[in-house]
This record gives sequence, C-alpha cells and structure tokens, in this order.
Amino acid sequence: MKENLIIGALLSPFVAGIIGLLPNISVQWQKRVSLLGTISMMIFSSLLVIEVDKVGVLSFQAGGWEAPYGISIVADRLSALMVLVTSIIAFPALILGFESVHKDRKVAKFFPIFMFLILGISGSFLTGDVFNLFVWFEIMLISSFVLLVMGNSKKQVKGTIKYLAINVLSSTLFLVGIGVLYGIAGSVNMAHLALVLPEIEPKGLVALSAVFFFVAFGIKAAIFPVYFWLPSSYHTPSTAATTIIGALLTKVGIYTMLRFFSLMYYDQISWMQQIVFVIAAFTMISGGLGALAQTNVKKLFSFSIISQIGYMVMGVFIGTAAAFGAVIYFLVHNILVKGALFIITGIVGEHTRNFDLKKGGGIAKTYPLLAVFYLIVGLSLVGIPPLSGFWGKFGLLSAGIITEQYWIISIALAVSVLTILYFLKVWNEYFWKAPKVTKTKRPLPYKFVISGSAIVLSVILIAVFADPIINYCVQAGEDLFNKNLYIKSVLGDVEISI
Amino acid sequence: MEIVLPFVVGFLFTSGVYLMMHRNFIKIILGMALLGYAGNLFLFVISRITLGQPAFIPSDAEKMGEVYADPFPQALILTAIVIGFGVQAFAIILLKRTYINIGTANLDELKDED
Repeated sequence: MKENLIIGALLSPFVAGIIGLLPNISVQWQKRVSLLGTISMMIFSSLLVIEVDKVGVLSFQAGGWEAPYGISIVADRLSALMVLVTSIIAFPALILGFESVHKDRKVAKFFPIFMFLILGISGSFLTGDVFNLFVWFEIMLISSFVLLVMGNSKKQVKGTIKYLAINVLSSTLFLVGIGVLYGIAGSVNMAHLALVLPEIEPKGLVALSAVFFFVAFGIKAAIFPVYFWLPSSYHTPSTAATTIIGALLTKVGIYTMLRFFSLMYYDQISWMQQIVFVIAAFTMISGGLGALAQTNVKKLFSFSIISQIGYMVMGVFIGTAAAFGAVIYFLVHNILVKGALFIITGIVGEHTRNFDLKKGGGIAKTYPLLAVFYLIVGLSLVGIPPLSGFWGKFGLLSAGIITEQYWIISIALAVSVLTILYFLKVWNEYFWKAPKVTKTKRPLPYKFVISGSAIVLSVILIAVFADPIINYCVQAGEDLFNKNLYIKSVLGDVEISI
Repeated sequence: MEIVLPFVVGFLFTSGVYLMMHRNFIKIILGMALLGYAGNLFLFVISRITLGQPAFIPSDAEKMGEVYADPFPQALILTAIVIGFGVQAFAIILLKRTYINIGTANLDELKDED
C-alpha cells in the first residue's frame, strides 16, 4: 500500500489542475485549490522520501500489466527526492504568483496550468518507462509553452516561438531515440532495457540511440551548442512562471540524463566522456561569460542556469557512484538556489517595476530584508563554505580528482570565479549603489515576504542539514551505480548478470 | 515495397529540418508537422513492418502461432500523433497571436531589442 504515496504525489497537482480548469471557477478558488494541491503534494512526497529511504525502491505496474509489458512507475531515492524538491520550490513560486501575476493572466487560468507543469515534471521523475517519459515530457512542455506566452506581450511571443521550435525538434529526436531503442531491444521498460542492452549486437546501434537521447536531453538541459533558446525565452513571462520553469525544466533534462546513463547506457560513458567534457566546459564558460554581459537581471540568471548545467553534465559523465551522489546534491542545491534567486530578484523587480541593473540600485537601503535574502542565496550559489553550494561543488570536484579528470576540474574551478563576478555585479548594481532616481518606499506585500522567506529558509536548511542530506544523496548515487535494487524492484526476481 | 519507406523517412526529415530553419513562422509550423510525420514513420519502419496481418490474435487461439503485427509501435505512434496534433494546434494559435499582436509572421522582424 506504500505505493499509494506515489499516486498521491501525482494526483495532488493533477486534481488541483483539473478543478482549476472547470468553467466558472473564480480566480480566488483557483488559488486556493492550487495551494492545497501543492501542500498535499509536499506532504505525500515527504512521506515518500521517508518510506523510500527505508526500503530503497518503491514501484508498481500501472494498469496491472506485468513489467516489462506494462508501464512501471518507480520511486527510488533519486526520484523521491526530486519530487520533494519540486513541491518545495512550487510553494514559494505559487505564493509569489498570487501577488505578481497580472489580472489578465489570472483570468486565463495561470494557476491550473502551473499545476499541470508540476504534474508533468513529477511524472517525468517517477516513470520507469521510456515512452511514458516522452508523454510526461510533453505534458510538461505544453504547460510551459502556455505559461511562457500567457500575457501575450511582444517579447513573450518571440521567446515562445524559439522555445517551441527547439523543443519540437528535441521531442522528435527523443522519439527517434525511442524508435531505435525499441527496434534493437524490443522493450521500452528502463529496468528491462538495463538488463538486455549490454548484450545487444551491433554495439553501434546502441551507441546511436545513446547519442539521440544525449542530444534530446541536452537541448532540454541547455548544453553548449544548443542553449540559445533559453536566455531568449526564460526572462519573458511573469516571475512566478520564470521561477518554476527556470529552476526545474532544465534540471529535468539533467535528471533524465543521469537516469539513462547510469541505468541503461553506463557502458557508453567511457567513449562519450571526453567529448561530453568539452561540451560541458564550453557550457560552463559561455554561460558564465554570458551572465556577465547581461544587464537584465532575469536574463543574467538565465545565463547562470546554463553555466551550472555544465557542472551537472560533467558530474554525470564522470560516472562513479560518488559523482552521481554529488550531482544529486548539486541538483537539489541548484533547483532551490536558482529558484530563490529568481524569486528574490523577481520580488525586487516586480515591486520596483524595474528588472534593469543600470536603472536599479539602493535596495539594500530601502528593503534591507531582500538584500539579506539575496546575500545568503548568492553566497550559497558561489559556494562559500557553510552554505550548500560549497558541498555540491566539493563533491563534484573531489569525484573528478579521484578519477583524475584534471583539465575539466580546473575549468570548473576557474568558472567559479565568473560566478562570484556576476553575483557581485548584481549585488553592486541592483542592491548596493545609490539609485539614480530615488523612489518612494512602498511596504512589501506580505505574500512577497512569505514567498521570499520560505525559499531562503529552505536554502539555509539544506546547508544546516547538509550531513543527513549528503548521506541520502550518496546512498542515492550508490543505488544508481549498482542498479540491481532498481531492476529487482521493477522486474521481480529475475536473473541479474551485471 | 518496404524499401521505399526509409527513403521517405529521410526525405521527410530533410525537408522538415530545412523548413524549420526558415524565417517565416508558417513554414516553421509546416516543418514541425513534417518532422512529426518523419518521427512517426521512423518508429513504424524500425519496429519491423508486418504486411497484411492484424495486430491482435483471435480470442479462442491457444498461443500466438500465426504471424501478427506488433501492436506496440502502433500504440506508440498513435500517442505521438495525438501529442503532435496538440503541439501543432498550439503553434497555429501562437501564429495567429503573433500576427494579431505584432502584425508579421517573419521572424527577422522580431529581433530582440532589449
């Protein structure tokens, strides 16, 4: 019956979304229902994490068809943690949306679509079936298209066209990858594929499908040559939508990469490693330099997402249990910190109606609370020791040093300097320097304060409780590396020869 | 005749990608449609076509002795078609909004100014 926790975590945003889409439902009720859905999802996913930590993996077969024929829904330590983090970031983003989403956007069902986005993301984390993953991806993408364009301003329409076109391309590549996989292995169940793929001849076709998946997920995660859609679309919608899309969508790409290359394509890592490291290095550097060049604060942090994606891709392809664990902690840290940065600068931007660094300034004097929030979160992003960024980077770098990947590690270290630079740039321009025009101070709406405090609290908490969280992540990384637990849970007691 | 299908897939992919690189939004949408067809047809071809056989077995059959078509890729393609249909519907509405709001469907005239 423990499996019902998984269903609960998926049903909460689903039901909230459906109710919100009913005709004649007022915006007030849409808000209430989506808040309820988020909180209920948070409860279910916390229980799920506790339960999964006890037993290792929970899984069930949707529709009662035995694996590998039916669709498996699997929650291992990684999936459960990701779903929990999704619900944690959804809460402050939603509260922020209550205050900042403009009236015309609300009427157009902003909150139900937001819930469907959460549903698509959590579904992608929980599925154990490659084609089912494609379907969850599409739910997530279609919701994000709608959120991006809602409001219909010129720049939103422009950003959405690019986002739509690149994602259609990436979905097609994903579908082709699934086709190759089914053609050679005759299955789309991840656990089953993990068993049969190593024995399949010719090896070339297995490698081909791995490359298809790498490119498809790479476009979603915004890696080096294919990231241009991200900075031109992410800064356009309302801050609540930017927060959730910016914090989570690229990380779903990283999650799927981690899942595929640990479970099914582990053999492929060895030949792809150096090529991917070059891509990861360019991703880190170009994201960091791009962020330095920006003056729009939302655009700046969009580039910052790309830079951090480089670290995660590097971690996935180092390919040891320790590296997987470090990537998982880095993912959690990054989702929360990136979400927090978008929320805090979003609050400043929405409240002062200015997202431009050149025109901004003086926030530290007028709204000291927000400045303190930014300082905590920003230092966390940079990786100052007691805060979470340090543990994430430390884990990744030490995993790299143990496996003697020195050149990529030195680039990763050098890019940290860029992170400090753009963090300081925002601090100086937006918060510290004297403003050109002094604006009258207006009190912050209480919803902004709740939203900001909630996310900053969670950023502090993952640093304070770094020890149990890191232990959990290390265990999750080892589960990914060993994969027997996952396969056994889905397929039952089959002969495992790895 | 199955030998024709891979070439059709290749042709569809080529023309789809070509159209998607166009600066006119209408052609991008057509490119998306062609890419969708290409992907679906690819799934169909690579999962081994069985000619003239149904994708099910008689209810009174004891075992699957006869040759029958694999129902799985058909189910996949059906799902993919429906999803592609939804995305295309969204793209067409987006085209309409672009045209109403900005007065053009030419992406070169939509350069970023911020």
